[in-house]
Amino acid sequence: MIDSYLRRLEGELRLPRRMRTRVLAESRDHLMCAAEHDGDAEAVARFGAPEVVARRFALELATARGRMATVMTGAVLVAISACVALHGDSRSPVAFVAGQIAATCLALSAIRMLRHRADAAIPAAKLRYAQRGNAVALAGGLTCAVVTHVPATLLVPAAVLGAAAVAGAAARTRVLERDGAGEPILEDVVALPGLGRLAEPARWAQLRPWRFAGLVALAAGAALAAAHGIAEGPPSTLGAGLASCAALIAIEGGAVLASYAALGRFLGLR
Amino acid sequence: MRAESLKGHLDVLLLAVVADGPAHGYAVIEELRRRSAGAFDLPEGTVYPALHRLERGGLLKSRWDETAPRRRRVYELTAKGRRGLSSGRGDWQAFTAAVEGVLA
Repeated sequence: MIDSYLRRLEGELRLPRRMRTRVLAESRDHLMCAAEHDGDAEAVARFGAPEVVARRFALELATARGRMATVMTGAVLVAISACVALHGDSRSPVAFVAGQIAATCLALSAIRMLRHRADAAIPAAKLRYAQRGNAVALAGGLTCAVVTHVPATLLVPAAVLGAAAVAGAAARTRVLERDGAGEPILEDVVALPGLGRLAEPARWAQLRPWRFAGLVALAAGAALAAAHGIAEGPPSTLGAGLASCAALIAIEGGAVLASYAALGRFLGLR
Repeated sequence: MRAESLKGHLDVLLLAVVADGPAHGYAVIEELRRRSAGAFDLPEGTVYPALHRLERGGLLKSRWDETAPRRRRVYELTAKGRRGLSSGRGDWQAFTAAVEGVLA
C-alpha cells in the first residue's frame, strides 16, 4: 500500500528532480515509521491525498521562486537605471517609454508579493500575474538598456540573471492548477499597511476601470509636463507654454492608455 | 481543530518542536501531535512543505542521517530559527493576552 501511495505521489509531484527525490525519500521514511505504529492504511490516510501534498509543495516552491524573481527583476532594473543615468543616452524616447512600463510592471508585481509577504503560499492566479509583470518589466528594462547603449559588460549579465530568475519562476508557476481569476490589483493595494483608507476610491475605480485609467493617464501627463517645465525653464510666451503642456499631456496620457489597453488584461488590471 | 486554524502558526510550532533537538519529519509531527494532544488535524504530508520552506528561509537546516535504517532527513534549528522562535513566542503571547483581555 505504501509503495502504491508513493507511486501516486511521484506521479503528482511537479518539482525539480533533486527535490522530488528528497520528498519521496522523506515521505517513504515517514510512512514506514507511521505504519510500524498504526498500520499501512492509517499511515497513508493520515499523510493526506497525494494531490493535496503535491500541490502544497508546488505552490510553496512557486511562491518562493516568484518572490526571488521579483527581487531579481528589481535589482536588474536598479542596475540598468544607474548605468543609464551615469553613461547612457537618457533622452531617448523609446527608453523613456520602456523605462516607465518596466517600473510600473515591477511595482505591480511587488504589490502582489507585499500583500502576501507573511503567507506561506500566494494564490496561483496572482503568481501568474506577478510572473507576467516581472517578464514585461525585465523586457522593458533590457530594451531601455539596449537603446541607451548600456555597455555589454553590464547588459549581458543583467539579462542572463534576470531571464534565469523570471523563467525559473514562470516554470514553477506553470505547473500549478488554475485556481480562479485572482483578486484585482486594487484589492492588493488597499490591503497593504496604512492604505486601508483607500478602500472606497478603490471600489469606485474597480467599477470604472477605464475612467480610472483615464485619470491615471491625465495625472501622468500632468506630472511629465510639470517636470518638463521645471527642467526647461519658463516658456517664451504663455501660448507656447500651454501648447507644450497640452502636447506632453496628450502624448504621455495616450501612451499610458495604450499600455493599459495592451497589457491591462494580461497583467490582471481589469 | 481544522488545518485552517493553524494558518500562520504552523511555522512557530514547528520551530518550537525542533528547538528541543535535531529530529526527522515523522518525529517532529508526532511531537506536535503529542504536545497538542492530537488537536491539530492536518494531513501530515503537508507539514513537509512547511519544513522545506523554513529551511529555505534559513530557520532550519537539514542533513541526511545515514545511520538510520532508511534514508532519513534530520532537521535542526539554526541561530536565525532560534531568533524567529523567540519572536514568534512574543507575538503569540501578545496576541493571546489581547484576546483574553477581550473575552474575559
